[in-house]
Amino acid sequence: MTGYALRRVLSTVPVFIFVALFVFFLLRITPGDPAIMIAGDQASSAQIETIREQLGLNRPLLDQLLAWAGQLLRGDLGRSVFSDIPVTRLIGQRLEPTAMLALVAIVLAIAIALPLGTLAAVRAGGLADRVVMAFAVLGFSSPVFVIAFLLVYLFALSLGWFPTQGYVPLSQGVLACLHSLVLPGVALALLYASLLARVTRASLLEVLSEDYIRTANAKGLTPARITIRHALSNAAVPIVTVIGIGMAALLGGVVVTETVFNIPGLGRLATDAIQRRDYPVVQGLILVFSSVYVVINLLVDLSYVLFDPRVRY
Amino acid sequence: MSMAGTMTDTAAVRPRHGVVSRIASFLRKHPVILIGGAVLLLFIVIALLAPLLLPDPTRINPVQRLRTPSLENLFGTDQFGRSTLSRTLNGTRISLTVGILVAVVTTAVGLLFGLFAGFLRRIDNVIMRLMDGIMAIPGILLAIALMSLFGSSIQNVVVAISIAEIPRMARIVRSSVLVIREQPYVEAAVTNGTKLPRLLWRHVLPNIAAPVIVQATYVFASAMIVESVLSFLGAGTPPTIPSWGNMLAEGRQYLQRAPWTIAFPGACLALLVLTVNVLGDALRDALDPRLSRSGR
Amino acid sequence: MQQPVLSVEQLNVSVQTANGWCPIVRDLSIEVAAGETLCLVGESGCGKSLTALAIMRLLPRGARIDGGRIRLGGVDLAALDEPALRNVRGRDLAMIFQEPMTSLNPVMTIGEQITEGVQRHESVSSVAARARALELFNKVRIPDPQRRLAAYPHQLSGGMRQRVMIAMALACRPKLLLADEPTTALDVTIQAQILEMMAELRAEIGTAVVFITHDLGVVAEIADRVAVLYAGKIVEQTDVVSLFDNARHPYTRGLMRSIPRLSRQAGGAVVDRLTEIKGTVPAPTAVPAGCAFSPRCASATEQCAAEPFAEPLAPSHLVACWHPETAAIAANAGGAR
Repeated sequence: MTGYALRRVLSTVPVFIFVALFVFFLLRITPGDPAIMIAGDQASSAQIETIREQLGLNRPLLDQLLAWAGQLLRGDLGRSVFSDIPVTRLIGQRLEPTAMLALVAIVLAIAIALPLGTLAAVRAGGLADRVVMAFAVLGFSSPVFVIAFLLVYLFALSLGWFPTQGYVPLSQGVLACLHSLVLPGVALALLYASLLARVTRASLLEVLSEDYIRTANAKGLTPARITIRHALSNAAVPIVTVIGIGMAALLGGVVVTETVFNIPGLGRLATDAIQRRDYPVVQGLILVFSSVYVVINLLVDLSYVLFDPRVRY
Repeated sequence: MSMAGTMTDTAAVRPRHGVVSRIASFLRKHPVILIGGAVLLLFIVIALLAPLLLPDPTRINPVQRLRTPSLENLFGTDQFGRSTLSRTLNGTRISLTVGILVAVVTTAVGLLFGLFAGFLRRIDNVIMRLMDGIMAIPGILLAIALMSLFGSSIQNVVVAISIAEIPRMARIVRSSVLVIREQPYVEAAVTNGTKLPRLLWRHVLPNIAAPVIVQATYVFASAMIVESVLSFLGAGTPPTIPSWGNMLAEGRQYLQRAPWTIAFPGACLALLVLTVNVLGDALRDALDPRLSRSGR
Repeated sequence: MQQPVLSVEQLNVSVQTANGWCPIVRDLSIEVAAGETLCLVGESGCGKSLTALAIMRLLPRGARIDGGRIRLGGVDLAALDEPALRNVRGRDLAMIFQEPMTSLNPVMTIGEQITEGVQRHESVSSVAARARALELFNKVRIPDPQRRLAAYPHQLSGGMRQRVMIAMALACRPKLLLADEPTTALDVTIQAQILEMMAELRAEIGTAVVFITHDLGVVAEIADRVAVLYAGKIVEQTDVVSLFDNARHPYTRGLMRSIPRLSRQAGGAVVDRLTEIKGTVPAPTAVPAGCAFSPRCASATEQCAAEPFAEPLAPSHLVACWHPETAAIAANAGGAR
């Protein structure tokens, strides 16, 4: 890989280190004894002692830090305090629902936002523009779970088209799986789509006022060709950037959506773990979510070269 | 030519009317800001007056469980017989309090970090890596984790949400500072020996005010949503206090039987957040249309 | 007589200001014959670019045509709807712009930017379109054309980009080319090359050209006929030789006199001050009634409070002035060659 790419990849290292350190200290900066926090108020002193041993909380801080670093480098995220299953195995078990939900949401969001944002930009100032933008503002002003409740009330409880909750695994059929993900996917997608539609419109509007669009018009090209081949390709960079950054909102939304729809994914695992004070799991999940976000943004950055030939590696 | 003379004369004669009349004409030119501001003001008034005018939102009345909205209970009652109207309108207090406090804290700390990063190249890298690191953790997850460690209270909610929002604000401040730093008028002021505090106050802050104000508005809106999500997940405002998130969490099982316990707080939340977001958009367009490029 | 390729009659274009619509181009009438180059001359803001954009029907938001007829090869452009106009643009009517830096799409290869125009208007295969692009590159003298087809605009110099623009515009052999100050943003040496190349191409393809400029030197180099614009109105229109030797309108005369010269005047006096036209061009919102130039004109009388007509003082020499200057221009006040 050439200079720029290499530097970009290396720049993710400090971020990973920060997150790992943050997660490490998260538990240890609480007021009070972390072991008691984890074991719970009703725990006996023997249980508390076991936890302390298990997590190495009785050793000097530096030792703990080094042990943690060593663990991470080996890919060992510890074991769940609650169930004693290795965290990595837990994550592996619950990965599929979350991944499918996120995928459905992303695809839906892009499929809705790009055309609508483009329409709003091309018909800027007109009725279509105002309507689309009004929906977009409403979309990211409503919390995911409010939209989720609305959807459940309308489409699950009243019309009965979709299940109110639950997840059908892929192993039971792709269509069944997707069917169970429609409502949660839409709830999640709406937020993401609103952000994307706004950016698409703003970016496209700016591009459409550029001189080379005037040249394209002067050549008598069709509006479709100008919008897609000339305008969107130039508007791509900011749009793709927001797809990356919006991922944070999406990952946060996953947590809520899985709770509302009772989907046994990583988000539910997170809320359960937090409620149960199962910190190894919490730590592992924070690391996983953050890593996904960092990697996706890295890919977004590296993808710029596809859209803009002036970016050279 | 001759006009210039008259202009300075009138300016010297009427200095007092400057700020007020400028604000008035600004509002007239941007009706959306006027309307948005009015709606927000209405919510604030409701928040202030609610405990005085409405029955106690925590008062349980088992006889009146799950009544549909009627003249007696305008918004109906929930599973404990509590007035949904009272709870909904009182919930405004929590949302507004958290929203405004988070906006203030985020702006203050974000400004601090951003200014340091923008002016002092040596710590710029350190601060920005720190910000990147915080941004890498999804905000909700970060907030829930912090809340679970430090306990449920409004202060902790404000701190937890602020931590998640500070990096974006710091970035915005930093980018503005980087641009302003290069401007000739700053260079001139520095050459003249202007001390740093005065430099900041007279030259830097007025010019970064626009993007900061706009972002603060968005933070306000975002904070209200995050607070409601945290409360919904049980990691936010203590359940004894009526907040919209809590109401939505409690009403969840009654979605089919008593949808009004969810509909009203949900609608109010969406409306308030919408108002603030629309205000943010309008402020952005009014103060500096170029900001719309970032698409936020 | 052969029908003119372009015939503009009484064109009016106005622009939206804070106080409503303000006319910029007023009652503009020009004609261009096939193979002829008409230069539209005037200072900044006199409405030259708007005229060209109006002919292309590509006025930006906030500008509109208020009246007048525009006929290209006999076809009334105002009567065409947008899809029909898109067929005309690029094929019969082409335009090149002032800024080669920003007028090319940065994310498309220049080869594609030419072939897309060809394939839009002519049903040719992509292979044939590529061949045409290569041919055009050769004509506009782009070195190493085969490799350049895959080049992006940011990899080319300003002069090279303008050549690409010209190649793009002439790809379908249009009847009329509108050139809006194409050389203004280029170095003088490059400017000369571009002008020379345009003249050759013009001769070869037979395109009529409306060349917009504020530089009288360029006018002397390439024009067949010239139309001088002041505050949105044409004040003088004639062939280039008559313009330089026998300008009649006080404004045109003023322009001629203000061309800086290195030589001495007749009688040996050194020219040490630039001659200027007193006053400034009026803002479009403050154009005086009657003859717009009268406040600055030495020969102005009360009659000038009324709008002068375009009088043909000689066949194809139109002057809009109540008091056209009749004295012959002094011997040493000539073209800027």
